[in-house]
Amino acid sequence: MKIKKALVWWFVVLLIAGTLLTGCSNSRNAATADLKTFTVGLDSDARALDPAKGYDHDTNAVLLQITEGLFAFDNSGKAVPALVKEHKAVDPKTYVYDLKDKVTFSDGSPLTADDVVFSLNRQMDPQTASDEGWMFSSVDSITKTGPLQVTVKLKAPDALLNIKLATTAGLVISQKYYGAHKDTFGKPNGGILATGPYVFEKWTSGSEIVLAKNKNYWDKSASLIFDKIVYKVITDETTRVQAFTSGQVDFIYEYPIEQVNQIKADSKLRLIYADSLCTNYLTFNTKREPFNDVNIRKAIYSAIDRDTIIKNVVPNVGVKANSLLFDKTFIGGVEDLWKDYMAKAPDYNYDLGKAKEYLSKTKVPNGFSYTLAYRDSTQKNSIALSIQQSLKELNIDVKLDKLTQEQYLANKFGNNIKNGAGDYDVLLDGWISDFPDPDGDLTPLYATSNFGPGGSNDAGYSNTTLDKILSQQISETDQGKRARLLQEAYAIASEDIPYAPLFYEKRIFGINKDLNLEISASWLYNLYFKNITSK
Amino acid sequence: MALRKFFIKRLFQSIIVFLACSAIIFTLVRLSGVNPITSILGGGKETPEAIAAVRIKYHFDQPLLVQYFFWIGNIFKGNFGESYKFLQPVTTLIMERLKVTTGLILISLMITPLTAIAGGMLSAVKKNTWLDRFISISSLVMLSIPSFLTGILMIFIISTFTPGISFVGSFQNLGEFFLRLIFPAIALSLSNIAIVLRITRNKMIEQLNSNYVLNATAKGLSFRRIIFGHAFKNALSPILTIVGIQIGAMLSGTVLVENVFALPGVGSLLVDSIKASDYPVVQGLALLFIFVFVSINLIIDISYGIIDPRIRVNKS
Repeated sequence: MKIKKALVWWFVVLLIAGTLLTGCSNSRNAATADLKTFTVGLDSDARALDPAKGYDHDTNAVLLQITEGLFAFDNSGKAVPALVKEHKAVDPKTYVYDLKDKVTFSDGSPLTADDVVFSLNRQMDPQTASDEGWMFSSVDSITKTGPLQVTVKLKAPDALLNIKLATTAGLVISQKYYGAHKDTFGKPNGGILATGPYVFEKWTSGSEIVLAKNKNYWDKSASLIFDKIVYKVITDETTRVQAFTSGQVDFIYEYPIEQVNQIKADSKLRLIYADSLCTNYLTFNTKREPFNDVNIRKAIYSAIDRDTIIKNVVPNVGVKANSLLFDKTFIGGVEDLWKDYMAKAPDYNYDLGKAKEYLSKTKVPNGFSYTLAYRDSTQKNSIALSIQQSLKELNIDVKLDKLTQEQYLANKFGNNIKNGAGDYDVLLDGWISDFPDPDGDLTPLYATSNFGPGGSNDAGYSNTTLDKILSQQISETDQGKRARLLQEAYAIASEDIPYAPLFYEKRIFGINKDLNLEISASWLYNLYFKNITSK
Repeated sequence: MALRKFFIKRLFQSIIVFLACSAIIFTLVRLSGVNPITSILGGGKETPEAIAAVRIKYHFDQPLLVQYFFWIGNIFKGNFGESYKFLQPVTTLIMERLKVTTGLILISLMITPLTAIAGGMLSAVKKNTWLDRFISISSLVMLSIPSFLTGILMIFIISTFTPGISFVGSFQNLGEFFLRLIFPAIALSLSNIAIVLRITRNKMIEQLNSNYVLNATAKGLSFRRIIFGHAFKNALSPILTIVGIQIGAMLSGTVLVENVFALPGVGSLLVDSIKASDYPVVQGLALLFIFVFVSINLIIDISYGIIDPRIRVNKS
């Protein structure tokens, strides 16, 4: 009898739960319609709300709304002053920055040179273990030279200084707040205080981050349409997309390309295709036979039909790359200096005849076999298969090696070097430039010094002339001269072709159709929700 | 006296299993070949000074064996290390997320036995009728679909037909907590329900065919009395054993279900940490799972020992 009673009770509980569900669902429906709250779906929790960890889009999605830097990237990719009012180079190694007056932190206290000096020095300090610490390698000292004046002294001239300060490396935090929250700063129980349009309110680890409008925001011209920004951590892609399509979140990073067609029919949602600084390419291991022969690299590159790959695999997001890891997104502010060059940039066309000709000049004119390794994904797999198919024409047999994330990382950053060479033939890989400047690709990938542990020159490429040009351009503060040096560097890179660029990849963002937002290639550093307007 | 000796012996064995597993986890995690400095510093193109500072802070400059003893020694002091990714103590991360996982398992434990036993008994009593076949076929379906797929299907159905029901809500109060957990709990329970249901059915049929039931029927006892008062009581103990063992299975099920339903539990933390090569968290969680498994086994063993003295005599 007791059991029967228990069963009856169980059904009562289920009934109540059912009623609760329907009741609550109604109230929730009303909440999503209200656009005072902007809900963002993140694919992973933020690492820490700390500029020193601002190197992935989930962390920056939050960080960029709270903090502001000395400079910011505009939508053309040019670094323009943000907290800085005026700046000048006293000499190539000394930069003076005058801060805007009347900038306040969200607690009402004024921004001073002390805060800026503290923030930048903290990024530079090895003990901080900042993700952007390397950006300060050219800096000798950062000091206060007036109540609102900061002077940066360099070890050597650095053409990229202001560009670096427009990334998360240049974000400013309150020194006082940091001092009071030394151990918990940037963590869920410590938070962060800065000058941005939104303030930290609450962070439930692994689940939710809530920001509120900064009532003391110094920039009165900004029209902040949201009272709150709520971030939901939704790690599973299917769930994240469903949360977006059902209107539970207003914005997601990285909408999956395979599901693009779902959205067209739906009127409440819109996709934004943004340029990115990401290039997909083949990495030839130039320290290994036969890829040490430039003709092999040219033969393979000429036999790959980039147009077909883009059409079949990445139709909406792939932009055909020429032989360089470079396109218009890298020349914000100096377009004029590059216009002529862009028109006649060197390239290799899809040409099997030429490919056979290149191959005939090598030690293996009748073909050979090699292994193409890549991180396993539907996209990469389709590209690899297409390459495998194309190279059959040259009697080159391509073996595909699908890597797990762990195996992939084990090949990267010089982690897999044996006897002075990387332990792989060819990688199907990609690189996202750290900033919208040609050097974001050139030095990391092509400089001899970046081969080895911690470096990203996976091709093991080395060319002393190119190395010399690369170190010249970085110290060249004259824009025109620097552009010419970079073009020389590109000419060498294109001739030697240690990397065979396939396409630049656009990024798809999903947004509620009632909202307007322009997203540029530098979105990792300048996706500010304060720029969102409502229709 | 014998019971105490048995208890101490089992406890001692469990500790050895636990320590052995900890060493295996520590080694396995490091076999991947990923340089942990890459995940701590985000990129790997850091200045040599920053890399050196990290090496010292996380003891990467020490040999692996020394690192292991550092780790295990700290665990006995309650310190599981610091997450590479989130820069927070592993214990803080795990403790915060434990309540969601515990809630999920508890709700699932409420749903599973009750639904399964009711279904199994019904199936046994109505043996070979259309109802029995219907229950059998549905349980077969439930058993065959993995829980993450059930989860994805549920999300599709919810977001298409009742977009008002949020699966990304927060946990402001008990009501919301329950709302967020009920669907994942159902997804987690389905296959377990199927297993328990089938065992209940078989055991009940076994009991109903036994001589004492025949005797009770002959005595003129009511059918209801026979089912609930006699047959079910005898069938109950093997059913409860299965339910106990399934708590372990549920723990691994949460890894998939939490990820699909965007729940901040230890399962999704594990997936996240593996993706980020966040060794200390992966190790801490694996250790936690092992601890739960070993403890459940210990409890089951000991309770058997108490219930059935033959077991402790045979084993010792």
